[in-house]
Amino acid sequence: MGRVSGNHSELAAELEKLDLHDHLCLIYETREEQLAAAIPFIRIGLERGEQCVYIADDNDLEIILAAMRDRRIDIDAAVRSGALRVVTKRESYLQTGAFDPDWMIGFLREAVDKAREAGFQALRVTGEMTWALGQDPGTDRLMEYEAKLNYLFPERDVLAICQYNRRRFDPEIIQGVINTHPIVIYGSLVCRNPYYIPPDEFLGPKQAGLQVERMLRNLLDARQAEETHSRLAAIVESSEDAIIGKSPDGTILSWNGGAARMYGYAAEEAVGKPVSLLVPADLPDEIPRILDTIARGECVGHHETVRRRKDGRRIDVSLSVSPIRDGRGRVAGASAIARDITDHKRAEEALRAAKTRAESERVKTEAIVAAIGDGLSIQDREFRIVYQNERHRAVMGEHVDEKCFNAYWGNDRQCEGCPMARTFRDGGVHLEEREISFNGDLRYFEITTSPLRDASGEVTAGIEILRDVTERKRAEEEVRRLNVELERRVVERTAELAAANKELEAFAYSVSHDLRAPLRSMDGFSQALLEDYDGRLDDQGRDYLRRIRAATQRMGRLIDDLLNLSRVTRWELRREPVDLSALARTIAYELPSALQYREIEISVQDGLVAVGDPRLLRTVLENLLGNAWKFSAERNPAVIEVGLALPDDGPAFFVRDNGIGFDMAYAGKLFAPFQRLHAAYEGTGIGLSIVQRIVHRHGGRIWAHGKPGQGATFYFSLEQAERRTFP
Amino acid sequence: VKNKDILLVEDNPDDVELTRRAFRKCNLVNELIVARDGVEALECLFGTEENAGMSARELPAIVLLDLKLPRIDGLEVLRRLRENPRTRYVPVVIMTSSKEEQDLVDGYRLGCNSYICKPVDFVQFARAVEQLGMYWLLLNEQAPSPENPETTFRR
Repeated sequence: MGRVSGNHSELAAELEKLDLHDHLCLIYETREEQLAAAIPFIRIGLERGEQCVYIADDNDLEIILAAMRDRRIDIDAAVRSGALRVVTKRESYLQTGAFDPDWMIGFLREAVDKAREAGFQALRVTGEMTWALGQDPGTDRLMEYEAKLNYLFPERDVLAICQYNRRRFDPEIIQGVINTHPIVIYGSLVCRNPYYIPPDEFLGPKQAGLQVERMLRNLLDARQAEETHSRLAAIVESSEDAIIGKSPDGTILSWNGGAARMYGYAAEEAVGKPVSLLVPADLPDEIPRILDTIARGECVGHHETVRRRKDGRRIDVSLSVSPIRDGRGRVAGASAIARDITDHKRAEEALRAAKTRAESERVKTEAIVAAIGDGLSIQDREFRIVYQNERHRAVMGEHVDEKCFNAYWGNDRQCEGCPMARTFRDGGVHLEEREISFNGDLRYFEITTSPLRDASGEVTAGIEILRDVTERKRAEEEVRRLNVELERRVVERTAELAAANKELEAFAYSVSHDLRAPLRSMDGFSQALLEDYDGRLDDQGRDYLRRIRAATQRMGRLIDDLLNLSRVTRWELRREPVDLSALARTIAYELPSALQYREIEISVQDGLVAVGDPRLLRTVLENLLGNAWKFSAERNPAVIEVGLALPDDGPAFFVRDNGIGFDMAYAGKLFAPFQRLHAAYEGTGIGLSIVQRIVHRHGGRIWAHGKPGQGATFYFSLEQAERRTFP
Repeated sequence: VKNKDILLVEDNPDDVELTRRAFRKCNLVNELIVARDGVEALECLFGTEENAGMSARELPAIVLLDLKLPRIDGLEVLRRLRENPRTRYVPVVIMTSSKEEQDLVDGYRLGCNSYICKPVDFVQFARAVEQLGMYWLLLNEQAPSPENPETTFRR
């Protein structure tokens, strides 16, 4: 069919929307077309409790009843209750044998009133108008009747469809029919009729003026409608949004430029296709759901969803779908308006992410500030407390919104020397210490103030940090006290030490003089006895005297060594470079080798230089070389070596011999005074003690390695010269 | 050879006896005058109010001076000796048990002529006494007598 038409189910839905007082004509060509309008019209009336009258003429009664049954009308019940009457022209239009419009209208008026009296909502009538084609008298007044009905309908609860078969009636009659019905059903569409002529004009003498007036008005209305239509079309076409028209079953009917840009399909590609073309495969339910909603006449408000472009790319859209109603208010389809919000979504996403980040940062910062061990508070420029963290509240009490000088110190103005005031003045960081009573305990707090600036650098507030420095203060106090105490003790000890040194000096002096004198007497008079009384002494007597002399002399050496030992301690240490190589050679030269008829090989490494006291270092080398000489007496040749060793913990001088050595088990006793490892060798056991004291006084270290029968090596270092130790 | 006297300033009688024995062993016959402390030593050299005549004696050929003495110690004796022009050049040999460095330094600073540490071993002691006697009494030429020839050290 080349003409625009709706389908039957849509027609039925439109018939539902007809109002009382409507006077319609049905222009049809086939029976199917005819019944598709007439039967639902009756069914709707029955459902609404109206009295329905079907005037049959063109169709056999049986056909009409069959059609009604097909539409699930309970004919028997309806007829029984009086709600449905199916009648012929003889029982209606032509009851009197001839057609009289006025009688007929009176008849209808009465029928309406009776129906209302019988409890029906209204009277609903449809008639097959083919009766008028018969040769019955009065049928030429048909148009008069149709025109006059337009007076009756507005004043009574009645509505009617007059059925005209276009193929049977003359076009002139059809023209009159069109001129006398405000609403025309044609091609399954219910149309408001622009060719309708009100009854006054239609029935009166031909009045060109009125006609012209009506035609011109219609002309303007048509023009206006066209303009409205094209303006709306232009708006739709030019919209950035995708605006799609679709049929109730989801077929795309119109496609604007926005849709083409957004979805990538040209109008020719999209129109006629199902709208599911645009829906991603993972949202299969969406279109049926939308169509259901639309079919119910409801809107699908703006919501976000996803659509698929022709190129496969997914886009986020904000979509709304509304039903489109035709002139009679029925749902003829839907319009879908979609806006691409992909960028917006992305920006929103980014914004949300940024907000989330900022929020989590803020939460974190707040948590840190709140949990910080120091008290932290923020004050505005009026010294009003804006914020206090937990610790600050614990120390100062809760005082937000109060002025700090008043809240904390009970002053009515800014405190003297207030560090915050200084910070506000110069924008710098300031510090103050204050005693604050906290938990009944007087504690020291360090108050630090620093500026808080806005984006332009203006100081808008200040941060105050309270740090409990009581422990530090107390520690400092303790350190100070200890230092004083220590200094006092050092002074005391120094005095004591000086006194002890003096005593020791006096003692040494006395020993030096007085202990030796008796020895000399013992030795001297023993010798005198030996010399003067030789004849009167036997061998044993002489032997005893010799033993006395030997003992006194040994005691003399012991005293000498002890004095040396104490001297080493008491002497003030000088520090200067000493050529140890030269010193060792000199001492080696003085060793009494010649007297012993011994062969001795002494080698001294060149360039040994130490920093220390020359006299004391000489004593060191004398002792070590003397020992080496003494304990290698049985070797031939004896080999003595002086040099510099480089062990891991720093260089050390050494004196090595190939003598009798010693057992490392006794290495610890080597340096203790009066300890001797070899009874067979002469010695007081003091020499190595002296050496050790000297080395220690130089801040050095001394140790020895040896093995019985395999020689000994004595190492000493003077390296840690900076370290002061008491020997 | 003039048999001039030797002044031994020594508080220890044993040491006096041993010194005397050592001199005897090497046949030095000069008279050994003993002062048992610093006061006696100064009296010998400069006389006293009761015994002015001592100051008129000939000065000794040598003073053997111990340091650790009762009353006035050896270093003080030496100082006074060197202070006095008459005794300024009298040879003084410090003979002591002390090996204290400070004593050595002080002794030389105050003008001793020699410093000998008495060995415990008598043989060495005797040798030392013999050598110093030989040297100071026989070899060494004494400084000329000071301005007043009368003021000689005489018994």
